[in-house]
Amino acid sequence: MLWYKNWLEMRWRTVFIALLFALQMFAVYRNAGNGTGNVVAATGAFGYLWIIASIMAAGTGIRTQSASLAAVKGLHGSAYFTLSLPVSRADLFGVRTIMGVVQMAVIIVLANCGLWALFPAAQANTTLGDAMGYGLAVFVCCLGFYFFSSLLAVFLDPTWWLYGGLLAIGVCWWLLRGVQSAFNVFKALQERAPLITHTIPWPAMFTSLAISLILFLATLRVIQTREF
Amino acid sequence: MTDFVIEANELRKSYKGTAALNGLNLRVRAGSVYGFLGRNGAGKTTAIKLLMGFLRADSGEARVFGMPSAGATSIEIHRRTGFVTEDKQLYPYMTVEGMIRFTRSFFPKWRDDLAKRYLEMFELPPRRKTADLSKGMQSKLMLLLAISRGAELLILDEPSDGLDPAAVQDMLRELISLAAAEGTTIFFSSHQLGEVEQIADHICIIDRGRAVVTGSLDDLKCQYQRVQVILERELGAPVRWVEGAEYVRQEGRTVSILASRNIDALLAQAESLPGASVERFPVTLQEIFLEHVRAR
Repeated sequence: MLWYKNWLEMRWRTVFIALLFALQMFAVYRNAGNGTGNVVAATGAFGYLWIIASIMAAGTGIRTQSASLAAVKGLHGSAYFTLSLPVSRADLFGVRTIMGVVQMAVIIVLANCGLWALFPAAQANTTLGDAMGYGLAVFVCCLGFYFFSSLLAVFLDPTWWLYGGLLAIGVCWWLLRGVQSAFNVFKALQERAPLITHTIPWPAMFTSLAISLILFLATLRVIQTREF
Repeated sequence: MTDFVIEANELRKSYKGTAALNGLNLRVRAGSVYGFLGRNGAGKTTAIKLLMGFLRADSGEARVFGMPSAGATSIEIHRRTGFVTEDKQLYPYMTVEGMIRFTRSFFPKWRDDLAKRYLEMFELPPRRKTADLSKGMQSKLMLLLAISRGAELLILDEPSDGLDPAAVQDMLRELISLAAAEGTTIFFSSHQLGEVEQIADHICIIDRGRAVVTGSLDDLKCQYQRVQVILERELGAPVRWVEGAEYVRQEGRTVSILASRNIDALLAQAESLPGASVERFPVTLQEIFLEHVRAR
Protein backbone atom coordinates (compact mmCIF):
# COMPACT_ATOMS: atom_id res chain seq x y z
CA MET A 1 0.00 0.00 0.00
CA LEU A 2 2.99 2.34 0.25
CA TRP A 3 3.00 2.32 -3.55
CA TYR A 4 -0.61 3.45 -3.58
CA LYS A 5 0.05 6.21 -1.05
CA ASN A 6 3.02 7.46 -3.06
CA TRP A 7 1.06 7.36 -6.28
CA LEU A 8 -1.72 9.46 -4.74
CA GLU A 9 0.88 11.97 -3.57
CA MET A 10 2.74 12.09 -6.87
CA ARG A 11 0.02 11.82 -9.52
CA TRP A 12 -0.58 15.54 -10.21
CA ARG A 13 3.11 16.26 -10.22
CA THR A 14 3.53 13.36 -12.66
CA VAL A 15 0.89 14.81 -14.97
CA PHE A 16 2.56 18.22 -14.82
CA ILE A 17 6.01 16.80 -15.59
CA ALA A 18 4.55 14.65 -18.38
CA LEU A 19 3.04 17.73 -19.98
CA LEU A 20 6.33 19.57 -19.63
CA PHE A 21 8.23 16.73 -21.28
CA ALA A 22 5.63 16.37 -24.03
CA LEU A 23 5.91 20.07 -24.84
CA GLN A 24 9.70 19.88 -24.91
CA MET A 25 9.70 16.86 -27.16
CA PHE A 26 7.08 18.40 -29.39
CA ALA A 27 9.30 21.44 -29.89
CA VAL A 28 12.40 19.34 -30.57
CA TYR A 29 10.71 17.10 -33.13
CA ARG A 30 8.82 19.93 -34.74
CA ASN A 31 12.18 21.49 -35.48
CA ALA A 32 13.76 18.23 -36.61
CA GLY A 33 12.34 18.48 -40.09
CA ASN A 34 13.84 21.92 -40.53
CA GLY A 35 17.43 20.83 -40.27
CA THR A 36 20.01 19.94 -37.64
CA GLY A 37 20.56 23.56 -36.55
CA ASN A 38 17.03 23.82 -35.27
CA VAL A 39 17.30 20.51 -33.40
CA VAL A 40 20.48 21.79 -31.71
CA ALA A 41 18.76 24.99 -30.67
CA ALA A 42 15.64 23.24 -29.36
CA THR A 43 17.60 20.49 -27.60
CA GLY A 44 19.94 23.00 -25.97
CA ALA A 45 17.15 25.25 -24.77
CA PHE A 46 15.11 22.44 -23.30
CA GLY A 47 18.00 20.76 -21.54
CA TYR A 48 17.37 23.17 -18.66
CA LEU A 49 13.74 22.15 -18.39
CA TRP A 50 14.65 18.48 -17.94
CA ILE A 51 16.87 19.46 -15.05
CA ILE A 52 14.07 21.51 -13.47
CA ALA A 53 11.60 18.65 -13.98
CA SER A 54 13.92 16.13 -12.32
CA ILE A 55 14.41 18.46 -9.34
CA MET A 56 10.65 18.80 -8.99
CA ALA A 57 10.07 15.07 -9.30
CA ALA A 58 12.24 14.30 -6.28
CA GLY A 59 11.01 16.85 -3.81
CA THR A 60 8.42 15.01 -1.84
CA GLY A 61 8.46 12.58 1.01
CA ILE A 62 8.41 12.49 4.75
CA ARG A 63 10.12 15.85 5.26
CA THR A 64 7.35 17.71 3.44
CA GLN A 65 4.78 16.06 5.68
CA SER A 66 6.14 17.16 9.04
CA ALA A 67 3.72 18.79 11.45
CA SER A 68 5.67 22.05 11.39
CA LEU A 69 4.81 22.42 7.71
CA ALA A 70 1.16 21.43 8.06
CA ALA A 71 0.04 25.04 7.76
CA VAL A 72 1.74 25.46 4.40
CA LYS A 73 -0.71 25.11 1.54
CA GLY A 74 -0.72 21.68 -0.03
CA LEU A 75 1.29 20.09 2.75
CA HIS A 76 0.13 18.06 5.69
CA GLY A 77 1.54 16.95 9.00
CA SER A 78 1.06 13.24 8.58
CA ALA A 79 4.75 12.33 9.06
CA TYR A 80 4.20 10.93 12.56
CA PHE A 81 1.36 8.72 11.39
CA THR A 82 3.58 7.36 8.60
CA LEU A 83 6.52 6.86 10.94
CA SER A 84 4.30 4.98 13.41
CA LEU A 85 3.70 2.25 10.80
CA PRO A 86 5.80 -0.92 11.06
CA VAL A 87 7.92 0.06 8.07
CA SER A 88 11.58 1.02 8.10
CA ARG A 89 12.62 4.47 6.97
CA ALA A 90 14.74 2.79 4.31
CA ASP A 91 11.62 1.15 2.88
CA LEU A 92 9.70 4.45 2.96
CA PHE A 93 12.52 6.19 1.11
CA GLY A 94 13.13 3.23 -1.21
CA VAL A 95 9.53 3.02 -2.39
CA ARG A 96 9.38 6.78 -2.90
CA THR A 97 12.64 6.71 -4.87
CA ILE A 98 11.66 3.79 -7.07
CA MET A 99 8.33 5.44 -7.89
CA GLY A 100 9.99 8.76 -8.69
CA VAL A 101 12.60 7.15 -10.91
CA VAL A 102 10.07 4.94 -12.71
CA GLN A 103 7.83 7.96 -13.20
CA MET A 104 10.67 9.84 -14.88
CA ALA A 105 11.64 6.85 -17.03
CA VAL A 106 8.11 6.23 -18.27
CA ILE A 107 7.49 9.88 -19.07
CA ILE A 108 10.78 10.28 -20.92
CA VAL A 109 10.44 7.08 -22.95
CA LEU A 110 6.79 7.61 -23.82
CA ALA A 111 7.15 11.27 -24.68
CA ASN A 112 10.33 10.70 -26.69
CA CYS A 113 9.46 7.59 -28.69
CA GLY A 114 5.78 8.48 -28.98
CA LEU A 115 6.41 11.90 -30.44
CA TRP A 116 9.14 10.55 -32.75
CA ALA A 117 6.63 8.05 -34.13
CA LEU A 118 3.90 10.68 -34.45
CA PHE A 119 5.99 13.29 -36.26
CA PRO A 120 7.11 12.13 -39.71
CA ALA A 121 9.28 15.26 -39.97
CA ALA A 122 11.38 14.05 -37.06
CA GLN A 123 12.23 10.88 -38.94
CA ALA A 124 13.99 12.87 -41.67
CA ASN A 125 17.03 13.73 -39.55
CA THR A 126 16.82 11.27 -36.64
CA THR A 127 16.27 7.55 -36.29
CA LEU A 128 14.21 5.77 -33.65
CA GLY A 129 17.57 4.67 -32.23
CA ASP A 130 18.55 8.33 -31.81
CA ALA A 131 15.26 9.06 -30.11
CA MET A 132 15.65 6.12 -27.74
CA GLY A 133 19.29 6.97 -27.10
CA TYR A 134 18.30 10.52 -26.37
CA GLY A 135 15.60 9.35 -23.94
CA LEU A 136 18.11 7.05 -22.21
CA ALA A 137 20.69 9.83 -21.94
CA VAL A 138 18.15 12.30 -20.57
CA PHE A 139 16.90 9.77 -18.03
CA VAL A 140 20.33 8.71 -16.77
CA CYS A 141 21.78 12.22 -16.75
CA CYS A 142 18.72 13.56 -14.91
CA LEU A 143 19.09 10.91 -12.19
CA GLY A 144 21.99 12.88 -10.72
CA PHE A 145 19.81 15.97 -10.43
CA TYR A 146 16.94 13.88 -9.06
CA PHE A 147 19.03 12.46 -6.23
CA PHE A 148 20.62 15.82 -5.51
CA SER A 149 17.12 17.27 -5.12
CA SER A 150 16.12 14.28 -3.01
CA LEU A 151 18.98 14.97 -0.59
CA LEU A 152 18.13 18.66 -0.37
CA ALA A 153 14.47 17.85 0.36
CA VAL A 154 15.56 16.08 3.54
CA PHE A 155 17.05 19.27 4.96
CA LEU A 156 15.14 22.16 3.46
CA ASP A 157 11.52 23.20 3.54
CA PRO A 158 9.70 22.98 0.18
CA THR A 159 10.37 26.57 -0.88
CA TRP A 160 14.06 26.55 -0.05
CA TRP A 161 14.48 23.06 -1.42
CA LEU A 162 13.27 24.16 -4.89
CA TYR A 163 15.12 27.48 -4.99
CA GLY A 164 18.19 25.99 -3.32
CA GLY A 165 18.24 23.09 -5.78
CA LEU A 166 17.89 25.32 -8.80
CA LEU A 167 20.47 27.76 -7.53
CA ALA A 168 23.03 25.06 -6.70
CA ILE A 169 22.61 23.33 -10.06
CA GLY A 170 22.67 26.70 -11.84
CA VAL A 171 26.02 27.45 -10.20
CA CYS A 172 27.35 24.02 -11.23
CA TRP A 173 26.21 24.58 -14.81
CA TRP A 174 27.88 28.02 -14.87
CA LEU A 175 31.14 26.64 -13.48
CA LEU A 176 31.15 23.75 -15.99
CA ARG A 177 29.92 25.68 -19.03
CA GLY A 178 33.37 25.87 -20.60
CA VAL A 179 34.40 22.30 -19.74
CA GLN A 180 34.24 20.23 -22.92
CA SER A 181 34.94 16.90 -21.20
CA ALA A 182 32.85 13.91 -22.25
CA PHE A 183 32.04 13.48 -18.55
CA ASN A 184 30.16 16.80 -18.41
CA VAL A 185 26.53 15.86 -17.72
CA PHE A 186 25.21 19.28 -18.76
CA LYS A 187 26.73 18.95 -22.23
CA ALA A 188 25.19 15.49 -22.66
CA LEU A 189 21.76 17.07 -22.26
CA GLN A 190 22.53 19.81 -24.76
CA GLU A 191 25.08 19.95 -27.59
CA ARG A 192 26.32 16.36 -27.01
CA ALA A 193 22.80 14.91 -26.93
CA PRO A 194 22.28 11.79 -29.13
CA LEU A 195 19.74 13.62 -31.28
CA ILE A 196 22.60 15.84 -32.45
CA THR A 197 25.70 13.65 -32.26
CA HIS A 198 23.92 10.32 -33.00
CA THR A 199 26.06 8.68 -30.30
CA ILE A 200 25.27 7.78 -26.70
CA PRO A 201 27.18 9.97 -24.16
CA TRP A 202 28.36 7.05 -22.01
CA PRO A 203 31.01 8.91 -19.95
CA ALA A 204 28.51 11.57 -18.86
CA MET A 205 25.94 8.88 -18.09
CA PHE A 206 28.40 6.94 -15.93
CA THR A 207 29.29 10.16 -14.13
CA SER A 208 25.61 10.78 -13.42
CA LEU A 209 25.09 7.20 -12.21
CA ALA A 210 28.08 7.44 -9.86
CA ILE A 211 26.85 10.76 -8.46
CA SER A 212 23.34 9.30 -8.10
CA LEU A 213 24.59 6.31 -6.14
CA ILE A 214 26.60 8.49 -3.75
CA LEU A 215 23.70 10.91 -3.23
CA PHE A 216 21.21 8.04 -2.75
CA LEU A 217 23.35 6.43 -0.06
CA ALA A 218 23.96 9.79 1.64
CA THR A 219 20.22 10.56 1.67
CA LEU A 220 19.38 7.11 3.00
CA ARG A 221 21.91 7.55 5.79
CA VAL A 222 20.48 10.96 6.72
CA ILE A 223 16.88 9.70 6.69
CA GLN A 224 17.73 6.77 8.94
CA THR A 225 19.35 8.96 11.57
CA ARG A 226 17.27 12.11 11.27
CA GLU A 227 14.85 13.15 14.01
CA PHE A 228 11.32 14.13 13.08
CA MET B 1 11.61 -10.97 31.00
CA THR B 2 10.41 -7.70 32.47
CA ASP B 3 6.81 -6.98 33.57
CA PHE B 4 7.06 -3.48 32.22
CA VAL B 5 5.85 -2.67 28.72
CA ILE B 6 7.44 0.77 28.86
CA GLU B 7 10.62 1.63 30.72
CA ALA B 8 12.49 4.92 30.63
CA ASN B 9 15.65 5.43 32.62
CA GLU B 10 17.09 8.90 33.18
CA LEU B 11 15.91 10.04 29.78
CA ARG B 12 17.34 13.38 28.67
CA LYS B 13 16.61 15.34 25.55
CA SER B 14 17.41 18.95 24.64
CA TYR B 15 16.44 21.14 21.72
CA LYS B 16 19.01 23.81 20.92
CA GLY B 17 20.26 23.86 24.50
CA THR B 18 16.80 23.88 26.12
CA ALA B 19 16.08 20.75 28.13
CA ALA B 20 12.78 19.12 27.20
CA LEU B 21 13.41 15.99 29.25
CA ASN B 22 15.63 16.18 32.27
CA GLY B 23 16.14 12.67 33.62
CA LEU B 24 12.67 11.16 33.12
CA ASN B 25 12.01 7.77 34.69
CA LEU B 26 8.93 5.76 33.76
CA ARG B 27 7.67 2.24 34.43
CA VAL B 28 4.44 1.16 32.80
CA ARG B 29 3.22 -2.29 33.79
CA ALA B 30 1.56 -4.60 31.24
CA GLY B 31 -2.23 -4.27 31.26
CA SER B 32 -2.31 -0.96 33.09
CA VAL B 33 -4.04 2.26 32.05
CA TYR B 34 -1.39 4.89 32.58
CA GLY B 35 -2.17 8.61 32.57
CA PHE B 36 0.71 10.90 31.63
CA LEU B 37 0.03 14.40 32.91
CA GLY B 38 1.79 17.70 32.61
CA ARG B 39 1.41 21.30 31.63
CA ASN B 40 2.06 22.51 28.09
CA GLY B 41 5.77 22.16 27.37
CA ALA B 42 6.36 19.83 30.32
CA GLY B 43 7.90 17.21 28.00
CA LYS B 44 5.00 14.81 27.42
CA THR B 45 5.11 14.80 23.63
CA THR B 46 8.90 14.64 23.56
CA ALA B 47 8.76 11.58 25.82
CA ILE B 48 6.15 9.96 23.56
CA LYS B 49 8.24 10.68 20.44
CA LEU B 50 11.22 9.04 22.13
CA LEU B 51 9.12 5.99 23.01
CA MET B 52 8.00 5.75 19.37
CA GLY B 53 11.58 6.11 18.10
CA PHE B 54 10.99 9.39 16.24
CA LEU B 55 13.67 11.06 18.34
CA ARG B 56 16.90 9.84 19.90
CA ALA B 57 17.68 10.56 23.53
CA ASP B 58 20.75 12.63 24.41
CA SER B 59 21.31 10.18 27.26
CA GLY B 60 19.37 7.55 29.16
CA GLU B 61 17.40 4.72 27.68
CA ALA B 62 13.82 4.10 26.56
CA ARG B 63 12.60 0.52 26.11
CA VAL B 64 9.23 -0.68 24.84
CA PHE B 65 8.38 -4.39 25.12
CA GLY B 66 11.92 -4.74 26.45
CA MET B 67 13.43 -3.46 23.17
CA PRO B 68 15.26 -0.18 22.58
CA SER B 69 12.71 2.28 21.22
CA ALA B 70 15.01 3.74 18.55
CA GLY B 71 16.73 1.91 15.72
CA ALA B 72 15.87 -1.33 14.00
CA THR B 73 13.68 -2.64 16.84
CA SER B 74 11.23 0.24 16.40
CA ILE B 75 9.57 -1.65 13.52
CA GLU B 76 8.67 -4.54 15.84
CA ILE B 77 7.49 -2.04 18.47
CA HIS B 78 5.29 -0.25 15.92
CA ARG B 79 3.81 -3.59 14.81
CA ARG B 80 2.56 -4.13 18.36
CA THR B 81 1.58 -0.54 19.14
CA GLY B 82 -1.39 1.65 18.26
CA PHE B 83 -0.54 5.33 18.18
CA VAL B 84 -2.51 8.56 18.16
CA THR B 85 -0.43 11.60 17.28
CA GLU B 86 -0.77 14.93 19.04
CA ASP B 87 -1.70 16.75 15.81
CA LYS B 88 -4.13 14.07 14.49
CA GLN B 89 -2.97 14.66 10.91
CA LEU B 90 -3.76 12.00 8.32
CA TYR B 91 -3.38 11.85 4.55
CA PRO B 92 -5.70 14.57 3.22
CA TYR B 93 -6.04 12.94 -0.20
CA MET B 94 -7.40 9.66 1.19
CA THR B 95 -10.98 8.93 2.15
CA VAL B 96 -11.92 7.50 5.54
CA GLU B 97 -12.28 4.01 4.07
CA GLY B 98 -9.06 4.51 2.08
CA MET B 99 -7.21 5.32 5.33
CA ILE B 100 -8.67 2.19 6.95
CA ARG B 101 -7.65 -0.02 3.98
CA PHE B 102 -4.19 1.54 3.89
CA THR B 103 -3.51 1.11 7.63
CA ARG B 104 -5.02 -2.38 7.69
CA SER B 105 -2.44 -3.61 5.17
CA PHE B 106 0.41 -3.13 7.66
CA PHE B 107 -1.10 -4.99 10.61
CA PRO B 108 -1.65 -8.77 10.44
CA LYS B 109 -3.71 -8.64 13.66
CA TRP B 110 -6.00 -5.92 12.32
CA ARG B 111 -9.48 -6.10 13.88
CA ASP B 112 -12.15 -5.63 11.22
CA ASP B 113 -14.84 -6.02 13.88
CA LEU B 114 -13.48 -3.09 15.89
CA ALA B 115 -12.99 -0.93 12.78
CA LYS B 116 -16.60 -1.53 11.74
CA ARG B 117 -17.90 -0.87 15.24
CA TYR B 118 -16.03 2.42 15.63
CA LEU B 119 -16.94 3.53 12.13
CA GLU B 120 -20.58 3.26 13.14
CA MET B 121 -20.19 4.48 16.70
CA PHE B 122 -18.20 7.57 15.70
CA GLU B 123 -20.49 8.15 12.68
CA LEU B 124 -17.55 8.55 10.32
CA PRO B 125 -18.51 9.05 6.64
CA PRO B 126 -16.52 6.33 4.78
CA ARG B 127 -16.31 8.14 1.45
CA ARG B 128 -15.34 11.56 2.73
CA LYS B 129 -11.72 12.69 2.35
CA THR B 130 -9.91 13.19 5.65
CA ALA B 131 -9.14 16.79 4.64
CA ASP B 132 -12.88 17.48 4.75
CA LEU B 133 -13.36 16.06 8.25
CA SER B 134 -13.71 18.28 11.31
CA LYS B 135 -10.95 18.13 13.91
CA GLY B 136 -13.16 15.98 16.13
CA MET B 137 -13.84 13.56 13.26
CA GLN B 138 -10.11 13.35 12.52
CA SER B 139 -9.46 12.52 16.17
CA LYS B 140 -12.11 9.79 16.02
CA LEU B 141 -10.62 8.33 12.84
CA MET B 142 -7.16 8.40 14.39
CA LEU B 143 -8.49 6.48 17.40
CA LEU B 144 -10.19 3.95 15.15
CA LEU B 145 -6.94 3.40 13.24
CA ALA B 146 -4.96 3.01 16.48
CA ILE B 147 -7.35 0.68 18.28
CA SER B 148 -8.14 -1.55 15.27
CA ARG B 149 -4.46 -2.43 14.83
CA GLY B 150 -5.05 -5.18 17.38
CA ALA B 151 -2.18 -3.72 19.36
CA GLU B 152 -0.88 -4.84 22.73
CA LEU B 153 -0.02 -1.26 23.62
CA LEU B 154 -1.81 1.99 22.83
CA ILE B 155 0.20 5.20 23.04
CA LEU B 156 -2.23 8.08 22.80
CA ASP B 157 -1.09 11.69 22.79
CA GLU B 158 -4.03 13.86 23.87
CA PRO B 159 -6.59 11.41 22.41
CA SER B 160 -9.65 13.45 23.44
CA ASP B 161 -8.41 16.64 21.80
CA GLY B 162 -11.22 18.01 19.63
CA LEU B 163 -13.85 15.52 20.81
CA ASP B 164 -17.21 16.61 22.20
CA PRO B 165 -18.14 15.47 25.74
CA ALA B 166 -20.31 12.59 24.48
CA ALA B 167 -17.50 11.32 22.22
CA VAL B 168 -15.03 11.63 25.10
CA GLN B 169 -17.27 9.41 27.22
CA ASP B 170 -17.57 6.87 24.38
CA MET B 171 -13.81 6.86 23.96
CA LEU B 172 -13.13 6.40 27.68
CA ARG B 173 -15.64 3.56 27.88
CA GLU B 174 -14.00 1.81 24.92
CA LEU B 175 -10.52 2.22 26.34
CA ILE B 176 -11.59 0.76 29.66
CA SER B 177 -13.22 -2.21 27.95
CA LEU B 178 -10.13 -2.77 25.78
CA ALA B 179 -7.90 -2.81 28.83
CA ALA B 180 -10.28 -5.11 30.70
CA ALA B 181 -11.21 -7.51 27.89
CA GLU B 182 -8.01 -7.69 25.84
CA GLY B 183 -5.40 -6.76 28.45
CA THR B 184 -4.22 -3.90 26.26
CA THR B 185 -1.80 -1.54 27.97
CA ILE B 186 -2.86 2.06 27.53
CA PHE B 187 -0.44 4.95 27.93
CA PHE B 188 -2.08 8.29 27.31
CA SER B 189 -1.24 11.92 27.84
CA SER B 190 -3.93 14.42 28.69
CA HIS B 191 -4.66 17.82 30.11
CA GLN B 192 -8.11 16.65 31.17
CA LEU B 193 -7.63 15.52 34.74
CA GLY B 194 -11.24 14.33 34.97
CA GLU B 195 -10.63 11.87 32.11
CA VAL B 196 -7.46 10.58 33.70
CA GLU B 197 -9.16 10.16 37.05
CA GLN B 198 -11.98 8.27 35.36
CA ILE B 199 -9.91 5.57 33.67
CA ALA B 200 -6.26 5.58 34.78
CA ASP B 201 -5.03 3.16 37.37
CA HIS B 202 -1.52 4.64 37.38
CA ILE B 203 -0.32 8.16 36.71
CA CYS B 204 2.83 10.12 36.17
CA ILE B 205 2.89 13.90 36.55
CA ILE B 206 5.76 15.37 34.58
CA ASP B 207 7.06 18.88 35.07
CA ARG B 208 10.06 20.47 33.36
CA GLY B 209 11.10 17.13 31.93
CA ARG B 210 11.06 15.19 35.20
CA ALA B 211 8.50 12.92 36.81
CA VAL B 212 7.37 14.69 39.98
CA VAL B 213 4.65 12.22 41.01
CA THR B 214 4.30 8.60 39.94
CA GLY B 215 2.28 5.71 41.23
CA SER B 216 -1.06 4.01 41.49
CA LEU B 217 -3.90 6.54 41.49
CA ASP B 218 -5.60 4.82 44.42
CA ASP B 219 -2.38 4.79 46.44
CA LEU B 220 -1.73 8.43 45.67
CA LYS B 221 -5.22 9.40 46.77
CA CYS B 222 -4.75 7.52 50.03
CA GLN B 223 -1.25 8.84 50.49
CA TYR B 224 -2.05 12.50 49.89
CA GLN B 225 -4.22 14.40 52.36
CA ARG B 226 -5.03 18.04 52.79
CA VAL B 227 -4.68 19.32 56.35
CA GLN B 228 -6.38 22.60 57.07
CA VAL B 229 -5.46 24.52 60.21
CA ILE B 230 -7.44 27.53 61.43
CA LEU B 231 -5.48 29.46 63.99
CA GLU B 232 -6.64 31.73 66.80
CA ARG B 233 -4.37 34.45 65.52
CA GLU B 234 -1.81 34.83 62.74
CA LEU B 235 1.57 33.25 63.38
CA GLY B 236 4.43 35.64 64.00
CA ALA B 237 7.04 33.44 62.33
CA PRO B 238 6.72 30.66 59.74
CA VAL B 239 6.33 27.17 61.16
CA ARG B 240 8.83 24.47 60.25
CA TRP B 241 6.49 21.60 59.48
CA VAL B 242 7.43 17.95 59.87
CA GLU B 243 8.63 15.97 56.86
CA GLY B 244 5.80 15.02 54.52
CA ALA B 245 4.26 18.51 54.28
CA GLU B 246 4.74 18.96 50.53
CA TYR B 247 3.17 22.36 49.97
CA VAL B 248 2.03 24.88 52.57
CA ARG B 249 -0.11 27.91 51.83
CA GLN B 250 -1.03 30.45 54.49
CA GLU B 251 -3.72 33.07 54.07
CA GLY B 252 -4.37 35.07 57.22
CA ARG B 253 -5.27 32.65 60.03
CA THR B 254 -5.78 29.70 57.65
CA VAL B 255 -2.97 27.31 56.78
CA SER B 256 -3.52 24.71 54.07
CA ILE B 257 -1.04 21.86 53.82
CA LEU B 258 -0.78 19.16 51.16
CA ALA B 259 0.84 16.21 52.86
CA SER B 260 2.19 13.10 51.21
CA ARG B 261 3.24 11.12 54.33
CA ASN B 262 3.66 11.42 58.09
CA ILE B 263 0.07 12.58 58.34
CA ASP B 264 -0.32 11.69 62.02
CA ALA B 265 2.81 13.58 63.03
CA LEU B 266 1.66 16.55 60.97
CA LEU B 267 -1.76 16.53 62.61
CA ALA B 268 -0.17 16.36 66.05
CA GLN B 269 2.10 19.27 65.19
CA ALA B 270 -0.86 21.33 63.91
CA GLU B 271 -2.93 20.57 66.99
CA SER B 272 -0.08 21.68 69.23
CA LEU B 273 -0.34 25.21 67.87
CA PRO B 274 -2.21 27.52 70.30
CA GLY B 275 -5.96 27.55 69.66
CA ALA B 276 -5.68 25.60 66.41
CA SER B 277 -8.66 23.91 64.83
CA VAL B 278 -7.42 21.10 62.55
CA GLU B 279 -9.25 19.16 59.85
CA ARG B 280 -8.07 16.70 57.21
CA PHE B 281 -9.62 16.14 53.76
CA PRO B 282 -9.09 13.69 50.95
CA VAL B 283 -7.59 15.28 47.84
CA THR B 284 -8.48 15.07 44.17
CA LEU B 285 -6.03 14.37 41.37
CA GLN B 286 -6.47 17.98 40.31
CA GLU B 287 -5.23 19.21 43.69
CA ILE B 288 -2.19 16.94 43.57
CA PHE B 289 -1.46 18.05 40.02
CA LEU B 290 -1.89 21.77 40.66
CA GLU B 291 0.16 21.80 43.85
CA HIS B 292 3.04 20.01 42.17
CA VAL B 293 3.19 22.00 38.98
CA ARG B 294 2.44 25.40 40.56
CA ALA B 295 4.97 25.08 43.30
CA ARG B 296 7.95 24.69 40.97
